[in-house]
Amino acid sequence: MSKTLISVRQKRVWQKICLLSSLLIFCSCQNSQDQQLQNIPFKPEPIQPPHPPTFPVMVIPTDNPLSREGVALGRKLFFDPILSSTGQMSCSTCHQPKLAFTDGQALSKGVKGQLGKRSAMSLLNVGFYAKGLFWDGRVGTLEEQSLHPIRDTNEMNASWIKIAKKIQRHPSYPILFRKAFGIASVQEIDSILIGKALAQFERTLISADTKFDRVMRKEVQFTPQEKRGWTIFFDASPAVPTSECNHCHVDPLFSTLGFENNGLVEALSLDDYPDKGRGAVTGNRNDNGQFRVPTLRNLKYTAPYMHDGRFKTLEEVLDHYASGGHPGINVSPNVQVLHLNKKDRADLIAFLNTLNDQY
Amino acid sequence: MQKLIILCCLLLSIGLFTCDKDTETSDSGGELTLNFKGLFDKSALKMFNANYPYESDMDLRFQLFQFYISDVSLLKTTNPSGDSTKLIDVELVSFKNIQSDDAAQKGISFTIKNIPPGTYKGIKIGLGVSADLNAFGPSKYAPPHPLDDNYWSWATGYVFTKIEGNADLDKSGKFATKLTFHVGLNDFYRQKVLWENIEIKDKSNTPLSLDVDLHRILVAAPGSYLDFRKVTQDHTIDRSIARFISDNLVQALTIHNE
Repeated sequence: MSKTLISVRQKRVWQKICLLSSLLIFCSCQNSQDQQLQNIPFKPEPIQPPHPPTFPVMVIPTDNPLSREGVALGRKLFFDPILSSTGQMSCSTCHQPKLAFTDGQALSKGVKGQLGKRSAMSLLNVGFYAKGLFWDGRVGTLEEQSLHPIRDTNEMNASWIKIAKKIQRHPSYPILFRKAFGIASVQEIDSILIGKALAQFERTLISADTKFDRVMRKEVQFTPQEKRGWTIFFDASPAVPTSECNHCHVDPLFSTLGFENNGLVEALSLDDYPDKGRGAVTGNRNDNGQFRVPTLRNLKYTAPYMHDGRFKTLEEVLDHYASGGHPGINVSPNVQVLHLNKKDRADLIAFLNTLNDQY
Repeated sequence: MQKLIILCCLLLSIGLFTCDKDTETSDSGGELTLNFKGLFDKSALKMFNANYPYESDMDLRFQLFQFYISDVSLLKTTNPSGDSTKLIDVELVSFKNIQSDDAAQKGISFTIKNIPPGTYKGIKIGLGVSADLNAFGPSKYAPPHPLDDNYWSWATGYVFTKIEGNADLDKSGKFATKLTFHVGLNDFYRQKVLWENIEIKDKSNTPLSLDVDLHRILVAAPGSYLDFRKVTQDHTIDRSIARFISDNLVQALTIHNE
């Protein structure tokens, strides 16, 4: 009996010794890793945010200025599936560079193959979005935006605590965070710093060298067809029919960045919208059914169109707008019945094609 | 120790004294709060949530009414071109979010500080974006700024006034006719002078309430109105409509009388 007691006591003592030793080893490793980190020089090279002529000023938070190291880290994280719960999905899964940072799907798929609520938006020029992000404008900054898809169960479905730990233990990320943000300990790597790095990278995604931009810079000229399409797009002459596009799709971003109901859904009451969009964020019924005005840049690569990807082609989009859309209390009055013939539509599409980047 | 305490007190009092001086300097003069209230005839103007009877048995509902004011100044003499004190470069008076009785009652306010005290004879308000500001696009301005939006690149200028809404032409209650009128271009910039003795007192706020009647913008006189059975949209392509709206805006802006 006493022998058993001794052995139980001994076992407990040994367990405590083992635990303490592990802790000591962990702490000493941690300290040694932190010491190594602190030996790496922190000299981030500042870079200026891009400001193409005619573009608005990009607003950058004072606590997250762009640096070469921060952008490089953000780029690595953006393409790294480490940010998802399964380790199989990265930001770039839904925001593919070859598709102007969209995914070609009507509704984006999450880590388990489940469909999300809305289509992936293009990230080009997203650094200029000063009126909120996502289709419903629910967050104000890119730093905050990046926190959402990673923990969204319909998207990357990850826990930020787990993600931060994975990155803290990663062989190269701590060094990159040290170089970008001057961390003194791996423990400092958290969702906030990861969000900052991703935001820095996203602010460098610029579309400002399309044929339209080059025409505006007087480097090249529109073809006669594109020029006529430009006039229709901007309602710039009584000699052509109006298309009413430019009220919402204002250049150079080709979006006011505001929120509109463009009459996609028939709703007798403001409460009848299946996806309330902006209204779900503001709690204002008059905002129900409103979504961000998306950019028209790179339409060649960003089909299918609208927040729910319901239109596969530009012709379908034009059919919708030509009809004046479904009636609704808060449907934008700028969505008017259009009187565009076949040539008008072809010319308009020719102009829209000047908004494509070359890949 | 005693010396250290005395030194600390001395430093603290110097600091406080300096801060006080700064505050005094930055808050010198008086304040003026310009408050704009929207009306449609005699009723408070609300977006979305109100129907307004209009000419010829039509009813209207609005989603957006906004206009720029620029080069706003207080006049020191009865000469509109005489000596003045500049108050505002440019602001956007937007009724977009005026959707409830409370919001309509509150109106849209702009407070201007550090105005030299005195009695001014009136206030001059530019309606639209003055030509010097209208010469540059939004790329000069970091959002949020009144001039970071509402720009027509094709016309190289800002949209001075926007009126958007719906008309019920047949009393069906459906408001099926969409209305959108946008006015821009330097030709349609207007100025309004409101003659009123405005007393600016040192370190105190003077309120000035202004009414802007959208009905007066759409109806110039009996029988002279925008007929939405004939026209539902214009974006300064038909210059007669742009002139009608911009001239009427001048008349529609008045000092509020209790």
